[in-house]
Amino acid sequence: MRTSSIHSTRSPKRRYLSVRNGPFEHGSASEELAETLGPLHNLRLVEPPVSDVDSPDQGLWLERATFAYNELWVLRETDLHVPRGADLLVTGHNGVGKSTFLFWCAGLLPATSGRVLLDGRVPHVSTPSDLVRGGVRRGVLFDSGGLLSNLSALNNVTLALRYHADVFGIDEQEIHRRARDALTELRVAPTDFHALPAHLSLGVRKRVSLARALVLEPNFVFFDDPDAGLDAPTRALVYKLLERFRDDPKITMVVTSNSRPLIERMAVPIVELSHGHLLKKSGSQNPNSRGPSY
Amino acid sequence: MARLRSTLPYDPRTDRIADASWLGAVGRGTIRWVLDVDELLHTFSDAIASLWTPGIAARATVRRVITTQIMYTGVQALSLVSVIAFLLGASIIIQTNLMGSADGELLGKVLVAVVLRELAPLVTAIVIAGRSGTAMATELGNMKVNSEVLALSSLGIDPPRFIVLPRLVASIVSVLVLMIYFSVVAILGAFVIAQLTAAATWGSLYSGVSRGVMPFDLGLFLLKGIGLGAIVGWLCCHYGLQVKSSPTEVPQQASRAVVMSLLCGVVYSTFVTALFYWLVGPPIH
Repeated sequence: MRTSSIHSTRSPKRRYLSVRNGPFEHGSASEELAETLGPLHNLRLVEPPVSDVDSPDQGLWLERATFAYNELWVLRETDLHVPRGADLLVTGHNGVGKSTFLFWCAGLLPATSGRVLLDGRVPHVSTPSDLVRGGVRRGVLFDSGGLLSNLSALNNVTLALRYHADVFGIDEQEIHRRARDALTELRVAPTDFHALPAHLSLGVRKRVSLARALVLEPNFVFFDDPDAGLDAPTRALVYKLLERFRDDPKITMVVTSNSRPLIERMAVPIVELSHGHLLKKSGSQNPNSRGPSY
Repeated sequence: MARLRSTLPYDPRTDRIADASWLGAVGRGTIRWVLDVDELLHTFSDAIASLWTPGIAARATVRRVITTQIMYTGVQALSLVSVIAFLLGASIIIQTNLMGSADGELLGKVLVAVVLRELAPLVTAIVIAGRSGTAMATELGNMKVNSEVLALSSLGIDPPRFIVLPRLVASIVSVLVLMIYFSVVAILGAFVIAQLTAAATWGSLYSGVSRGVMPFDLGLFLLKGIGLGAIVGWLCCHYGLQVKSSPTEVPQQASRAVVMSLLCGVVYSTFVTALFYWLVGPPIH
């Protein structure tokens, strides 16, 4: 049996990113892999911004959480805390369940056992509006964009604002202003505002999806392979936005990717999802970035 | 007993249940059936429960979706229902003529019994299931494949409220309204053919229809309309949302949705007819 943990300290308050995996199966491939990678050591984060309000409930919590598809594990019993303002990058081989893990952390899929908590709230799959009313706003970027195919780009961005207009206290004019501003900021051409997703390229769809996440002013961001299939200018735009989310002390961000440029540029704590376990992976050593050092 | 495994290294050849005994198979089948029924009931109960979910703006958004769905499900089916209703009404008169001479009043009562009480609800539900039910199941299946349902959840939009409830309501409203429309057009078709073939006079047919309609017909009509509409909307949404991640599942689930809607619709219609017969006795006498 092996129990592992990652801890990070940052002033002025001691804050931590912790991971504790459940036991490996004796003699299994998981155990062999764990032997190869070695035990997890303490991890120190270099001075990330600290939010004004710092409650232990805030951020992303996994409490003895497991997730399995029928007989296949995606994550075995794991405790994880990503505090408010902290970030996590998840890597792993193709098909290991990174996207599933991300959606599950975002509360979009029900846990097989244990709990997922976002700012102390348990997300319910059938009533996600409870979270918004409780002040939890999630921005999720899907690999293929995840835009509603029967709505134009603009309506995709305004939909959630319109649905929660009473919660956000905004009127129709403000909804349109915010949506247009977000689309313009992400360099979506005005001619594409009224186009259906099927008529947009992957790059534009991803930018519209980012705009949709941005307008909600999220306090949790979950991005699935954000730079996959993008050209250089769009990739640069996505990196800039990711850095903005990373540097925002009120936003907790989880990103899944195997992209080396993204990993190096983000310079945030990295874990590898493998055999249903979260394992520490060597992080970015970019000297110019504010990231983890070991 | 099946054991949970790691995802890596994944070998599909090992992805099978080890326990192959007949008892295990029966047990797994039973568990799967219970879980399926539970999911089916949850699709309906979550949609109904969402009526009480707070959110003024959300309600307004859902109302707009309901209007759109009624447009697709009800209004756009008017022409198809018109043709079917007119021809069915005409066919009943022609068939009755073939059986020999019948007085207009009896023809009117036959129209009430066959068209109003049986054909109008059932044929309308069949048209809605075939025309809009497949569209609903396919649309929702594609939404699942393209992660659109997850995207809605991520935006804090309740899928039962935004996806299922509008289609359920639209289906109920459409079946009810189209049933009334179907009855009117079918009786009109019967009247027209009766005149053309000189089977009966307007007056005798009208008298037969008005004498054939009983007070309980309103209850029967409403119960069948609401029930059949709910069955079509509910099952088509449920099977559409059962699609997991593969596009090949979409036509399979759409087909299953329509077949189950038709089967459950016929069973429900027969059950309600039998219930009313048991409650009020044979009304034609």
